[in-house]
Amino acid sequence: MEISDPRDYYIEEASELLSEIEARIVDLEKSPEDYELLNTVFRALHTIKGSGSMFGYDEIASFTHEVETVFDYLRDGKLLINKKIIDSTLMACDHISVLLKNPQNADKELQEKLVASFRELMSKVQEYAPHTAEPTPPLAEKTQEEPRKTYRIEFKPGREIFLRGIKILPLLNELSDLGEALIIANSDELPNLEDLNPEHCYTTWTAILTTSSGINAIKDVFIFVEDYSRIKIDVIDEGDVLGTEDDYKKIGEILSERGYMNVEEINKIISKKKLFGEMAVEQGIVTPDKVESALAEQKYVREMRKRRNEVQTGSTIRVKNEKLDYLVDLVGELVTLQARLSGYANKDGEAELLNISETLEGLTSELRETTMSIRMVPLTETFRSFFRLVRDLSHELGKNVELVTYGAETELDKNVIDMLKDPLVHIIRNSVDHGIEHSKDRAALGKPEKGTITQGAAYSGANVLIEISDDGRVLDPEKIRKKGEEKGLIKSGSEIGEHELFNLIFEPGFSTSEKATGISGRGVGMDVVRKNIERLRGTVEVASEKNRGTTITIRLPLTLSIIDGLLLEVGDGKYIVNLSDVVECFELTGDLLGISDNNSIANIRGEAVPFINLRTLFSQQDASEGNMQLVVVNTEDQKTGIAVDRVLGQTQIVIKPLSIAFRNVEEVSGSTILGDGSIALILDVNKITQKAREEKTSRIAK
Amino acid sequence: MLEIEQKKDNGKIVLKLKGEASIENAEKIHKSFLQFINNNETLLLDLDEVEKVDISFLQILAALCKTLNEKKGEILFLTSLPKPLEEALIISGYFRYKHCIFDHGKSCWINEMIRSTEGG
Repeated sequence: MEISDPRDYYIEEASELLSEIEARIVDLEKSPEDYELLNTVFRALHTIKGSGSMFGYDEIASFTHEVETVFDYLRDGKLLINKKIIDSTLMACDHISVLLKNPQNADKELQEKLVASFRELMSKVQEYAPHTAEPTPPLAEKTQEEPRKTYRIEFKPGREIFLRGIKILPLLNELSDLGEALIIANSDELPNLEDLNPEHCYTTWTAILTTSSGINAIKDVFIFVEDYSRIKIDVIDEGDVLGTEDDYKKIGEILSERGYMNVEEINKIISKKKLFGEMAVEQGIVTPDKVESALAEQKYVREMRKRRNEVQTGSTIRVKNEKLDYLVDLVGELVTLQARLSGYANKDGEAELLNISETLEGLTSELRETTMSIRMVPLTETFRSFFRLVRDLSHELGKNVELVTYGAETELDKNVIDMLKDPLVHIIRNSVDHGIEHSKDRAALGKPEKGTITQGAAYSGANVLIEISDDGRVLDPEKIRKKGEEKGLIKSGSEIGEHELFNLIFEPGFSTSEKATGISGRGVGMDVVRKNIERLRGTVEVASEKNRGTTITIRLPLTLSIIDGLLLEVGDGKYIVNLSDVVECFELTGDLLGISDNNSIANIRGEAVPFINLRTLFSQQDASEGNMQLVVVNTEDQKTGIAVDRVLGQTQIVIKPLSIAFRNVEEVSGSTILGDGSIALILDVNKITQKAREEKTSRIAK
Repeated sequence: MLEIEQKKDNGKIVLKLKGEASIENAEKIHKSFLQFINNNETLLLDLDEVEKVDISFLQILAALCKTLNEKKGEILFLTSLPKPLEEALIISGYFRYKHCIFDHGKSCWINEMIRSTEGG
């Protein structure tokens, strides 16, 4: 077949790509985890869209864009490939084929239906993942096929290119999609309006493109216009050379390289000792457009090199976990030793020693923060593994469930992440097994047939919040109450709020499921989840609301081992609270106790703040001398006071596990060795807050 | 589909373009602009309802501006930068004139548009 119209090339190429997509889609059904298959389908769709737009097949371009977006989300792990996506994509391929070859026969109703189904998938991801709405990175950022290089592409389209039905904007757009691009339009050949043929192209372009897609990908962009244009592609920066200087060619060099000036003309201008570009324009050797374009290239490459050098200076190396753990241990020892030195220096009072101690304290603190930051890793991998889990479980149970995630970039201590996986698996298993209903039941309830589990993470002060929610059946308060009473967890007929009632599910042996399944409910209940979370010094809570579903919220500290603490004294004992929980400290005078009935509510600037007296809590009989101190802590946006004998000051501490003697004391979460060798107990501020609130409620009730 | 409306506002000519400012209508746009370039007048352009833009239109605008500048005429944009035009300017690399190192003054039609946008 003799092809004369470039649009025929497009139809031929797009048809081939559609066949490839169909074959790959069938493969994907068998190997949904194959990233390369996803990538191939995405790239084929991207080409059909880009070239379609270039040749004026706007309907194909906009329709294919919808399918392409779904595959971009699949590549990013924001969606999981499923039968519906596979079926819809195959139908979309058939539809594109009709649009290509027989547009008048295209079924508009089908097109709208398909677009609606693709958008529905997208809307779910966007609805549940507001933090992931960043613009999609360009194609080249994800493929990483070749070393990153910077190219100068000079594109001079033939005068009559518009008349061939070729559209330049989609072509330039596709070029920009290959990486980081600077597009410069040169319009110095543009005549006055009287002489302008409006159907001719007078503009030429220079593009500076940094990409890892390789020169063939760049050539592919111009594949349909190369016969009617002059295209010159040069590598202007190799991009993989370490230590390349930030500097780049002088303007004269760039203009000469592009063939706008010769050496003689350059030397003539240099001798004038004026700004090169201005002189070159003044002498009529080059147009302002050409100088501007060269300046833009110079600025682009200089900035790009500067950025790259900054990145290369901070490039990464792999370190074994054991080495990191050892480093953290050593830093812990150093922190303890520094505390000892600090204590000794303060006692001794010698100026030079105090100075050395303070300097060492600053350095130790910096070393601690740096070491801790090394161990921080994002939750991406953990979250990603749950897509497979949900898919397999829903197949096994014959349910239609989708997992949506957000905030996977949130970082946590690597050891926390490792220990977090099992509790998360259990929660998600519970959601699929007991939460999400079968499609038929959901339909009867007026819910979407497909159930959704949303898993997300976000920072909250010195903590990370992880939420797992599902739109399945909600917790039944009556059922939980009945079970709680049966198990003796609550007294029969006792008044208990819904929040406390729901959280009974974390009590040992509690299960409302009428039958154990192979997936969850086999003895390993939510009590184990809570125990594991508490081992990480975290908390777990559940909330359930009709029409809104059930949400389990896990709150975890950012790090496990070393924290900034506030050292407190009660009698002979020393205690630590995490400094990030502390709001303020007061002397507990009569003014503060003004509204207290039995010394347990403080009046802080008119606000009633419940407090716990540590002397009472830890049964210290002898009264303290003078006024006690009140440390106000803030958890979950509520203030609580902790009354102590003395606030000794700020200190860095290494968290050690509790000895067996303290394992049953709920208000204590760990211990530490102080600089003088004595032991301090780390207070669990959440538990203390809870206790203070309960006491306050019971007093109000009385 | 493109409609060009012409009216007078305080003695000045206002040209309003509605629809697709693309190659299919390039000749029509060119012809309508040509009527005004010899009058040494200020031409007011209203592009608020332009729905589609391609390179051919950017070229016509640039040529119009260049010509009016030489003839001591003036082009003023009545409305803010419409989305399709803004996108076309960015993708095509015409937007670099915003940061042009040479003093194009009134001859820089993109700067003129940005000024009219910023001015409300």
